[in-house]
Amino acid sequence: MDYDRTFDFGGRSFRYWRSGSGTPLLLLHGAGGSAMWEAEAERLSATHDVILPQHPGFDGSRYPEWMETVEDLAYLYSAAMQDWGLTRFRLMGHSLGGWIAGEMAIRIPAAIDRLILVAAGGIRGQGYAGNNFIWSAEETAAALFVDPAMRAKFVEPPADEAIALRVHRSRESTARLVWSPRWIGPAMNKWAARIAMPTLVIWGEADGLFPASFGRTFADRLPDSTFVEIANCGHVPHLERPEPFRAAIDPFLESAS
Amino acid sequence: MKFHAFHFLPYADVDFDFRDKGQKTLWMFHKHRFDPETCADYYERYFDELELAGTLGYDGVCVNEHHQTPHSLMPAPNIIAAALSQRVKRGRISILGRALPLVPNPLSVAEEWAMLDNMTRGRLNVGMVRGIGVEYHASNINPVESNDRYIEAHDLIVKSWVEEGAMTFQGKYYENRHFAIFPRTYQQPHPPIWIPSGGNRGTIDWAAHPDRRYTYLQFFNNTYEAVRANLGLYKEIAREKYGYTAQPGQLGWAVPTYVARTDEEAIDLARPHLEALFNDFMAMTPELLFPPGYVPAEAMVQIMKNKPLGGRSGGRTTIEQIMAGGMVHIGSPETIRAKIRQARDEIGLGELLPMLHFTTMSAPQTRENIEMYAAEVMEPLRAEFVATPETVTGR
Repeated sequence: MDYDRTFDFGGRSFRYWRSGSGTPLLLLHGAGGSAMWEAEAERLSATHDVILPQHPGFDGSRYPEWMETVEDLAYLYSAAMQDWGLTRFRLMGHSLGGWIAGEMAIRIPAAIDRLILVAAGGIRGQGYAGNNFIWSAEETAAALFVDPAMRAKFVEPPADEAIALRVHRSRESTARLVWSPRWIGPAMNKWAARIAMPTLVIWGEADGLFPASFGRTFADRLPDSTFVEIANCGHVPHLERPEPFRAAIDPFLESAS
Repeated sequence: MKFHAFHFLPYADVDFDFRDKGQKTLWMFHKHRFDPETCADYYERYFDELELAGTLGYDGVCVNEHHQTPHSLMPAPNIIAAALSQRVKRGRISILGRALPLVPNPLSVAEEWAMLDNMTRGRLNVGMVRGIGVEYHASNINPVESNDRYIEAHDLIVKSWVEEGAMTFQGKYYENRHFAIFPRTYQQPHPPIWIPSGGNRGTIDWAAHPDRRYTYLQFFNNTYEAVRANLGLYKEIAREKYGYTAQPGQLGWAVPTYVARTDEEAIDLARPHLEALFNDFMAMTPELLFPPGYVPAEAMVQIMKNKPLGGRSGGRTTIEQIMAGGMVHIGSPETIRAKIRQARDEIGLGELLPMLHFTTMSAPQTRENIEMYAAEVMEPLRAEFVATPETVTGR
């Protein structure tokens, strides 16, 4: 997939992929990078004008000094709306990207007509998010996936140094954004009620990073939300259980705004 | 050449089968037995050992800081230094060092060090470190901010010591709108600052800067050659980049040390304790030792490629393998004197920090080590070196 388009902010260019026509849909990937969302982006571009940016600091790029909090990325993409020619759009975010999406929805609710939060960070629930920074690769795989084949694929060492560098840069960028308070947006619980657009909250029931109870807490705080829990599924529902995932999001996206 | 006795104050009565019990390391994950009587005994015994070093004429005693591990009973080294100030009545007391980024308000460190400087009548050396990676997990300070916090905390502490009257400091991480610490430091302009490090080029460059000229302390490294190269880099940066000649007092090295009558005896006696140090007490997972951002991503790629820290996947490291790298001083007095002579000649080393106790060494063993080192290594070398003061030569 070619991320051959760019928008500029603060003297720097940021890469994104855009394809399809119809209602604009902004897709915000998680800490694992944009590649995890490419197949889904392609699929959705049959019905939507899909924009998939690569977050600064991920997919190999270095983070800009100003990128210190998840809110900074919410402001970046809010600013990019003008470059993208968007006034109203649909928004889907996964994990770290779900947290960014939540922050955007608090700040510019009128611009977002439908929101999908997939195993999203940012909410303070009962208990704690998993301590992913202390986990070995095997422990991380067990938290992210139920499927043994997906776990095995996850723990494969990087094929070359360029890929390893990308992994370490993404890890550093993630830590910069989420280290403390860990995976929690200080404003999210307080201001979640501003996220009043129809919202679909999707979670894997066996998510070992953000427990599914976090998803229920998130959904409970939103005025117009539907919570969907996917069985036999970890932190990455669209990859691990694509059928129930699509069965949940497709009707939601087909509904009239 | 100055000789400082270094001590880690470990709680050595640990469960060595911790891995079999599913425990990753002796850091943070411990759930093994803890006996308060044993712990109290350790403190008393270790203070006795450092007091002994003071009476035997060592140039100083050194302590440092580690958290949430039996490897060191010193999560708050200033408390240890305060106790030592009443026990060790001559020589320097060095805190090598305090992990500045882990402290919420660095001014409290500036205050405590000023107190200690007065309590010791100016015998204090202060070390400034970032803390090792695992301590960012233990403290929840963001490791990505480690370097910037470190520099800022240093600037705040030094400012509080050298400037007069009410001050203001507005950094990114620390803000103090109005401060003027009291007591002031005993030494002027402030206690000597040491920078213990594992060889990071940026740290060496920063320490060597003419505004600072801090003592760079190389902690035990993989090889003597690495020690030599890092201290050589300090000298080179001082000379080539900053246009001055580094002095021996700017170059330090901390070395695990065991002296006995013969090389064979020293190896036999040191073996279980030194192997426990490298295989058990310091063993760490990469995730613990290198949280994200603690070192640059480029360095992480190489570190993970070499996988040096997997614990025992590659079997236990033997004392012979450790000694082959040359970063420990184990042997007869003659052997150790030769190694020190070599470091002095090749590096211009001015500050040597023999670590005369490690891990599970008994009290009689430790006492003997401290005494024999003083009588048969330190004193003869002092006599020998009088005629030829250290000069920094070579690279």
